Amino acid sequence: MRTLFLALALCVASPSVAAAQGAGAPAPGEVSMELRRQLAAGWTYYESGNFRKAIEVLVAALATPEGDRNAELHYLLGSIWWDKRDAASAMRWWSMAEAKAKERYDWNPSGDYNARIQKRLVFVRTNFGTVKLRTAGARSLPPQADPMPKDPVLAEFVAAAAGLIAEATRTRDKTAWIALPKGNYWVGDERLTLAGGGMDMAQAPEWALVRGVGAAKKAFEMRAAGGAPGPSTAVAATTGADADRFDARLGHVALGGGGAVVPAQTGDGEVAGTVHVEAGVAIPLGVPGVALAVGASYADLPVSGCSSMQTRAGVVAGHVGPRLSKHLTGRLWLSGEVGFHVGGGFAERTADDRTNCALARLGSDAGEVRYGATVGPAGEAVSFAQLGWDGGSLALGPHGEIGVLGAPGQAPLYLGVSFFARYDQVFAVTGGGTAWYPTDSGVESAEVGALSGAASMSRLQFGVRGRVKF
Amino acid sequence: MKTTRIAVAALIMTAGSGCSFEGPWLQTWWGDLAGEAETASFQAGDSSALAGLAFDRLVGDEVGTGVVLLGSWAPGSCDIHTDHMRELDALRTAAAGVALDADGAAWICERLDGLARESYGGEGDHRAVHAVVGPGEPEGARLVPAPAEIALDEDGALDPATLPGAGEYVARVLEWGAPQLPGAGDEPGGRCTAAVLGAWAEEGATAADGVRAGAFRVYHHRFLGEENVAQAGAEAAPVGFATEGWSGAATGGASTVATIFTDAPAIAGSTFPQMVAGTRGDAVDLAPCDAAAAYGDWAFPELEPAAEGAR
Repeated sequence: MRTLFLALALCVASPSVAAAQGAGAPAPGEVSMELRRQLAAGWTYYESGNFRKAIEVLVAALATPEGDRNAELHYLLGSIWWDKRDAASAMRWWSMAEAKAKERYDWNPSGDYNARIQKRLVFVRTNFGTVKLRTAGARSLPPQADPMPKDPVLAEFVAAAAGLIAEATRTRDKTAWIALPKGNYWVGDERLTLAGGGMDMAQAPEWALVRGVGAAKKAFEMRAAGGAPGPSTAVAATTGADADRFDARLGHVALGGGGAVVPAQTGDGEVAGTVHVEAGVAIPLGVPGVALAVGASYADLPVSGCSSMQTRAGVVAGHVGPRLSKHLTGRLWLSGEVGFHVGGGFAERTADDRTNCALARLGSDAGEVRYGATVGPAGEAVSFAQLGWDGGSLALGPHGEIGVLGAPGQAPLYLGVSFFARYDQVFAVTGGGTAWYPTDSGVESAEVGALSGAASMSRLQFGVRGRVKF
Repeated sequence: MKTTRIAVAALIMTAGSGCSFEGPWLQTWWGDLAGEAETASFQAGDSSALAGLAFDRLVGDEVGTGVVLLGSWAPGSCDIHTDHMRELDALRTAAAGVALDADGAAWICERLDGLARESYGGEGDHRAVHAVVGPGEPEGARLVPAPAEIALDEDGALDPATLPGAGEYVARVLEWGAPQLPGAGDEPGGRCTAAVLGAWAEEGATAADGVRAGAFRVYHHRFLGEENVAQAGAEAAPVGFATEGWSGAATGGASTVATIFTDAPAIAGSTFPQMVAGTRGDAVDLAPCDAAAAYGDWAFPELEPAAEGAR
């Protein structure tokens, strides 16, 4: 049965055998029976996955002058190293196969076999680059692709680098020349880029590997845990894993600042400064890149505590809303959030505030209410002080942000910067009552509730926010 | 010779409110001089952060000095005082076209309350000692109370005989908000109310009059001879203004220690016909505040030709 299998394998796999049975095959006399036997055995062992025996047979054949000239033998050795995921060795053997084929005009006259060699060489030169790795002893950490190649076969070459490096650590110069899929790699805390170019050793970069101990080992393992590619669509698997890692950072603090649009009863509003700090957590929802953000913030907002100028209020609010992230590249994500917040505020007026308010009023027309509550149908306004406002407020509204989030080096913290927009409708807590105002015909009044839209302030804020996620 | 013992010791023991403000303070004491003056005892009321202002003002045909000792929960300033008085003027002007009926009174009181809150913070409580000091240099370092309040004669003209002379002053206290009376728990009422303004309306007052009436509770000048003070004892503060650098006070550089006697108006829940306002023996610097001169008629309308009579 085994004999039958081997015979079948020889018929299917060996180009020599196939050529001997078809048109355009090399003349039988050009290959000795012994070499034919060795090639057949090599193909058989190769196809059955016994690379060690295949190499043993083929190397024995290679020692003969006839074997040394045989292109098929070199091609097969290249294929074996390819399947061992050693692209550099495979490329060397295929290059020699190419050269041997050119020396024998009568070998594979149809050109199909030459085309196969050429195709593989082009593929390697396009998708691989050679790098010189200086190992750091037996514990050398191999380069980590970031992201892993989407082609699972290419990803296997990345994974196999560890074995090749381990072999190199046992050599005298402790140096490995290996070919890796082009892309970005983590080497220690450096993220390096390997360009294509195949086996051009003159252009090969030299990377110094680090020992797998301490923080370097921990960072390596963290990346390995999150960055392992799946068996099929490597990109999706890598992105999903990284996004999970991002969402796993539950806590965050943020600091933002910008402007707040302040409308005025007199029509000449202004943009006042605003700052806020925020702390919260992101609760994973089981969907990569999606989390529920819950937090609290303190915002310093402009409010109409003076009828001629803005004073300041501190607003403490609770936040909730979905947070979305999309992997961009490496350790960089597009991150955004929309949500709703509600809280309370208090505006305490200092002695300086009172003096500044007085100066602002002295600079305005006496009796003018630039910032206040509109209570009359013709836009008649009264100051919040006239409504008895002592500074307490209810603030609520939506908010959102969009920005990028990344992790420099191997840092466990993620840093981000984003543009934010936040809207607060600040309801002055006045206790409610009647607001009196003069008109051309006398005095009119309007009822103002304890939390009235008339006695509220709209504050649209925008700016830039920095975020640390941990 | 009368002797008025003022329980200043108790007054001085009245500590600050615990606020970080370290003074000076404008303190009130409450009592009754109608009985045996020698046994009169004044009890401490509330205190407030104090700012002193000074400016030139006409006293008859000559230039005297106006002094404002402005007390509020946080230190005031010339700007705050001037802004507030300017807004009161604007309200008085706006009220000219409004009837002093219930709606008008409600508007005036609400507006006055808003102005006080905006200027002085909190509920707007503030109290100011307004003093008019006669022209000329005082003989010593003490300004003493003039024998009488400034008054108009039978023809409605300013009576020159009632004007303070050199080294004399006439003082009134204007107050918004309710004072904290000794022994009283909650503050008694007394802010501008429709009822108060309604009483004015029944007397034919205009809304502008109502603004003036509603804006302040007025404590009038009380003459207390200097000899009375001399026997007040070591714990008693001398009545009047003890001054330093008084020459050119309106331009800055002067300071004063003040103790002012007044007759208190009727206050709900109060049994004290007199109120003393003072600096608790501390000197307060007088900041120049020329702008305040434009609003001197709120305390002393008699000195302003266009001002109506004050109550």
